[in-house]
Amino acid sequence: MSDMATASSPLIHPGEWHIHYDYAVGEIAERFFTELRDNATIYALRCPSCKLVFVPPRAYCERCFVRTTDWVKIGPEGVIEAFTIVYEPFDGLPVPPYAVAYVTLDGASTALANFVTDVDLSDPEQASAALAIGNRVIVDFVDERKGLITDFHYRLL
Amino acid sequence: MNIQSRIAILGGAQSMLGAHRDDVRLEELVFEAAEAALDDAGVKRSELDTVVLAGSDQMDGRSISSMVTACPAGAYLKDEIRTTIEGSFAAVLACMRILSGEFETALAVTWTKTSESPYDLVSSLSYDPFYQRPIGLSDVIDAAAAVSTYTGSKSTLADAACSVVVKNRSNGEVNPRAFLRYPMARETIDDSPYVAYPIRRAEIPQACDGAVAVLFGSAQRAKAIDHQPVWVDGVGWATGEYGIGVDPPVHMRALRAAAARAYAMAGVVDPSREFNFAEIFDGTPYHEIFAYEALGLTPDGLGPAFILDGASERHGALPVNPSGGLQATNLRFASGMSRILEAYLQLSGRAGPVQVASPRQGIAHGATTYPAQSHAIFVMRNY
Repeated sequence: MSDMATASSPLIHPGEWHIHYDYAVGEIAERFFTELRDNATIYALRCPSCKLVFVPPRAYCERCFVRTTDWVKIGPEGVIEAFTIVYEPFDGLPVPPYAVAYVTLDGASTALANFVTDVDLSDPEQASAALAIGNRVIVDFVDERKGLITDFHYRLL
Repeated sequence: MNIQSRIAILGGAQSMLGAHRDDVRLEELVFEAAEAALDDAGVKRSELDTVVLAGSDQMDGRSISSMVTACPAGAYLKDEIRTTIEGSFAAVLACMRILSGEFETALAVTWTKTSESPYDLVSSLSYDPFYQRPIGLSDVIDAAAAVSTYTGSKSTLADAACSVVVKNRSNGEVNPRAFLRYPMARETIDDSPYVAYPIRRAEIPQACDGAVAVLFGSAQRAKAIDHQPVWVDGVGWATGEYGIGVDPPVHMRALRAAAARAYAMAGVVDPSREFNFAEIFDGTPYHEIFAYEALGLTPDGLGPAFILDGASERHGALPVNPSGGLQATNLRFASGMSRILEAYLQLSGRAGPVQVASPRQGIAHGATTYPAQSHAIFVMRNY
């Protein structure tokens, strides 16, 4: 076997996956996105059993295992439950820095993530103080809404 | 903890099926099946001890798609475990969990929302990037190559394959749970173009979206439900080679190994005489024919004759896929669980228009799509 070739460096075969998906939004989320786009309004669904108000809305309550039925208008103000400020770039994600917060909108039981704008992010300590848990925000809708979650963001009150 | 000796099926259901279930998101589709299965058993989510999931990330277009489907499957704050192999393996895992004695109830849930993803592309990515992908293989292509290893009469085999499609589509026509509820004429199949020789377009069933859930339970728990429980007295599973290797694929050695284990566990001595029906993988009609032999329903070499003589017809000596099988309801990843559900309904006397007469024992079979590397067999009884 002495005449067999020997590798001088690890041999790598490059590969890429390009898969297109058509994610069905479904009737429940379609209503959420349509209200967002057409009426600049955020809707949630309430469980008829435990009364939790879910946003994003979903067709079922995973705790009570019953179908949710009651649409509830929520916001436009809410309270920060969790936040972070992104300073390093992530593959495929927005250019940093940007602030993200989970906000429980008034009338909702669950927190909904979105960007927080109009915060000076140059100093991490100062920015984090401004975004402190418990601080209140208001929803700002963009002018040209497309029926996407990025049709709005949060702004500190 | 008491190691259990018997596994019961307490209930089961499927979601609504459709070519495009665009009305629901993936998680809502899963909820439909889980909710219906618990309702069927008369069991509340609070009485659920564990949830077992099976999903394919590439088909679902979500990394670890079980993250989003776990809670709609009933798993919120429950013991939950998941597998990425074909749906029937969630049932395998659920059975093991019942036998462990740690769990009184185990809900196995699997799904497929094939309308959202390019199936053939996703399938081709299961091939290794070094030796196989550059050749242009996919599961259907490999299945076609596998059929070429058949050593018997090729014309008889093609005729038998055609008959399997006609049979299963005819069964599906009257099955209210089937997706394709209209027949397929022999001439349509004969006129259908080859996808990959010798497999014709009409022999590859149209896929549909849907989710399937089956509730397994202990013997103790089975006493508490209203309707007749069905028993899983034999479970066997096995994995064969990756791709086509040394063994002629038509021998389906992994299926033979899986069946041997399931039969030994259930005390099945002569599978050609002891089953009242079989619900088996028929992703192409050839798979059904080769499985007749691998499962011992007929001697080796006589698979084509088994269908051509009418034995596997719905009113034949041993009805195979009285539900219509995948040919009528191609739930892709969830197909094995669909076979278990149909077998369960047969044995609980609730199969409706496709009910076989007074069945006492049958088998359900799950396989990992077309190359069928891995198989799971369930021997089920109602006594």
